Amino acid sequence: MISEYLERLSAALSFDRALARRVRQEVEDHLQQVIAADPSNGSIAAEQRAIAEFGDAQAIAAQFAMISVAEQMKKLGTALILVIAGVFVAMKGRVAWYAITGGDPGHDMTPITRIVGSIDRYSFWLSVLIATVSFAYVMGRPIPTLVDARYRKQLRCMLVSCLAAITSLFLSVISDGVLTAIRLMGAELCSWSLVPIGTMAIEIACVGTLVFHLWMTRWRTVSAVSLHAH
Amino acid sequence: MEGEMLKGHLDMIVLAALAAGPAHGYAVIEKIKRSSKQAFDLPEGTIYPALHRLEQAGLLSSRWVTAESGRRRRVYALTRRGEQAFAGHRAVWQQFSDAMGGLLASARQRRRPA
Repeated sequence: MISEYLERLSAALSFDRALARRVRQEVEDHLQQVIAADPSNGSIAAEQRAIAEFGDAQAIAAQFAMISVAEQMKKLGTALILVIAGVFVAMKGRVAWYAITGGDPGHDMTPITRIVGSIDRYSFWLSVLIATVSFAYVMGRPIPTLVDARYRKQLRCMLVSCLAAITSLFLSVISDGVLTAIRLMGAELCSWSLVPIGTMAIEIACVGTLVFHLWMTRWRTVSAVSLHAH
Repeated sequence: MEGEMLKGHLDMIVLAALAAGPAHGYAVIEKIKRSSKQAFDLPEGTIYPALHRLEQAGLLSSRWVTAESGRRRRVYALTRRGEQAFAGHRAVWQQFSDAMGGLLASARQRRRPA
């Protein structure tokens, strides 16, 4: 009976395996202590009482789920800031490499590179602005004890602002890719091109990580909210 | 005591139970029941999410220990921030309690027949 109850609890939290494992261990230990303290130690009635006193598995899982979502949101906010910093370092590193090896990157500006450069710059700084606001918003929210319509709206707001920051950053990385491709088009592929290609790969990996993080957060949020709906 | 009323003060109740020293979930629940003379009989399952929430807020820290039975057990303790938060809660609660006590005492005196 206990294992069936624990199974239900950890199944409801399956979207966060680490949390599910920890909760399962803690609850199992608790229930075993309650059963050991019961006068009819070990009987089925003692198990039933322990489970009844502990509460409905679904309701308890819903409370843990919101904690998991809040934690995931904070991780996403932090990842957003760190990834933008990483993209910035990669961009500046590439520009510095051009300056060291091939002169000032601003020299051979064509109308296309100028337009793409502007898109790159503005979308990057827009992503910085949105990410900073999102980070402050996510970090400033306390974890609620219950999920009401207001908190659901807050969650949606957090996800949308993170999505906006990621989209803006993605646009900046695409522009970076175009600029790098234009620069590399005339040149032969040699050890010199390793730095631009490498830094572009870092930028793409950074954005990919963020998209994965956002997808995971959205999935957890949907799972947690659906637990509350039950 | 009303469950909803208790839930509003759950954080303070849990912090108070841990103020005396580190404890695992079961011990926290037992301490709450014992210290409140069974008045605070919360559904046991609500304490664990509260412990996790307070830990995430930085008010508690936790670690696994192995009990004599060989079972792994999560032990919680107040952090420095948790101690400060508890002191703040206690001061506010004391003020509220004194004010309410005074109000109720004056209401009792008025109802006495002259």
